[in-house]
Amino acid sequence: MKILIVEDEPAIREAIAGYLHKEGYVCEEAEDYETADEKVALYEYDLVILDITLPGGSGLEVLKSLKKAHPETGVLIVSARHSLDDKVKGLDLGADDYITKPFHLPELNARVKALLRRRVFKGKETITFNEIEVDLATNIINVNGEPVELSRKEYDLMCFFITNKNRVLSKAAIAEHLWGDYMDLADNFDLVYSHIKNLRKKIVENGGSDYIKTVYGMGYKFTSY
Amino acid sequence: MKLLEKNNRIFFRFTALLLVVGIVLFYLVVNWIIRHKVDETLRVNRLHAVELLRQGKPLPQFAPILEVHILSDQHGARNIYSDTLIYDPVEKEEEPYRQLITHEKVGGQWYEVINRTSLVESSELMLAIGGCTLGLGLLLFVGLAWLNSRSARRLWRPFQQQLDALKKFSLSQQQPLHLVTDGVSEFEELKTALQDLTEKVRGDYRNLKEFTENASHEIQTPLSIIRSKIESLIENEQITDEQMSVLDTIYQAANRLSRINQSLLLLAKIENRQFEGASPVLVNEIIDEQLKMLEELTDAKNLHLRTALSKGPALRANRPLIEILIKNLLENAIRYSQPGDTIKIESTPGRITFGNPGKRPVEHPERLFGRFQKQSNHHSSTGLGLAIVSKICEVNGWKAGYDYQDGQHEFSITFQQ
Repeated sequence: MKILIVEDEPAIREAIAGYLHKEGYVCEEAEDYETADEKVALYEYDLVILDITLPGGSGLEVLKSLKKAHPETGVLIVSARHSLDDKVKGLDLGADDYITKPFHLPELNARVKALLRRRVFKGKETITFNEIEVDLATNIINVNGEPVELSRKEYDLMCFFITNKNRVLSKAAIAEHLWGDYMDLADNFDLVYSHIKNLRKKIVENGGSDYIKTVYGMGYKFTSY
Repeated sequence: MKLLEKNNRIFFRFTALLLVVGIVLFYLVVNWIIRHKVDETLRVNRLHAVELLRQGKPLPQFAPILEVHILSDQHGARNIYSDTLIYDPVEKEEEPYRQLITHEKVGGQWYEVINRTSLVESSELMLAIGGCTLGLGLLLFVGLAWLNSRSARRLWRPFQQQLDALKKFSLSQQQPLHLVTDGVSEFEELKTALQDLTEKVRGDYRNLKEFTENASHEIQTPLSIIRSKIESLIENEQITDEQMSVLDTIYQAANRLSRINQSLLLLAKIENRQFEGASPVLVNEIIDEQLKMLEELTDAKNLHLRTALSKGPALRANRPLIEILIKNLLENAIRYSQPGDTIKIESTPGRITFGNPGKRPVEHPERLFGRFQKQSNHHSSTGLGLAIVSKICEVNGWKAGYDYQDGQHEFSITFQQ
């Protein structure tokens, strides 16, 4: 899978590239409008992560030429928070999803994976992690082939863990993924903790292993090691 | 007191004074002239009468106009003018006369000659003249007063218009202050001064707003870098628990800073009216949506909700802004309530109210909607939620209010004024 990251801030670009590289993606980078425009015209990517505000031009223009040259490429727009216009225009121009700045890397990773699944596998996919199987079409999680009854949030949490397996997920990233703008409040009530506790319990009760490890002070990690 | 009124009052007083003094002076002068004339006539008449006496002609007795008496004893020569009242048998009343009593020696005999002139005529004349003067004076007075107030009102009209324009002036308005004058140099000067002043203030305000937005914007990127670098760093297996705990503190602080920064950016954007585009919005619908999203959080805190959503406000507004408004009010109510509390949400067509129990009213309700005004030390609060609420209300012409009643903090938004 080849991903182009269009972002003018080198440190952020590198952080995204580094994170996605560990997931097994081939990442290319473009730091301004011209480079981005040139690359999307010349090469074919599975996905482009596109910042709207770029030096030298608008990311929306890049999106236009990209859709002309390679309509099959998936596009994830990165826009400033509360700039509804960019979001709406981007989606109108054929972008698949958007994420607002600032974002957590695991969140970006989850969006990238979901987008690629929809684009490349046309949404008919199940993610499997040892005895746990997530059916994305029906939103059902099976442990050893038996469905586990989970709440919507627990299901979302499980997906978030599986798409970010072997990575440390901070409580803040989990809270933002599950509760969006209300994460401040969720943060307060240790809701993340109680959801994880319930999820662990349900998986273990259904014969699964407890893969959710606590990372001291920081958050959690979904791993079999 | 209005300037016009004050001016008129001074004008009236002065004119009235002038009028009174003028009339008195006029009366005195006319009176003096008439007296003078009367005395002159009496003197001439006396001369005639004495002359007749000298010629030895019989003197006509014509009381009270002319009386001649023979004086028995010695008297000195004298001429005495005086006023007197004499009974008129025809008119049956006392009438005023001016008399000249003369003692004169003619042919060795002393005579007393009394010449009189009725003053009735002259007092009538005085009255007529006085009346005319008074009438003229009053006419002048009223006429001038009318002209004065009328012209003053016209003269001050540009001032009134400038004042009205100033009252409506708002720092955040898009157009510069527009003033009209009619070429009067003082008002032209005032207009120039006001326009220069407001332009300068507007410029400063704009700069400040731009600064806030630019600063928030510039802070955003380094913050994102810090956050993403920490997120990369925590993947490292070699990090000890202690180091991880330090990283977590840094990470939480960065997250918090990022949230504050986003709120500031949002405030600046609302202020700069970057939330254009209004559509019909049913406030109740948004309250329901937000409550659904919050269900889990209220359950977790064991909060009860009591909603009385009758026919709620139907607005034409920017939907995302209303969502932020409701979210912040709800968040505020939830954050500051204790487990087991009941949160009250009410809506009527012109107003929505969010209530949560509290032991006592907030200490400085006037500061409640200001920036970074936290009533307690909730570490997760940015201190900007209610400032954003207030700003949204301000740009839309609504009113955000706080009240404390029966142990309840009540935050309300009034949509209709």
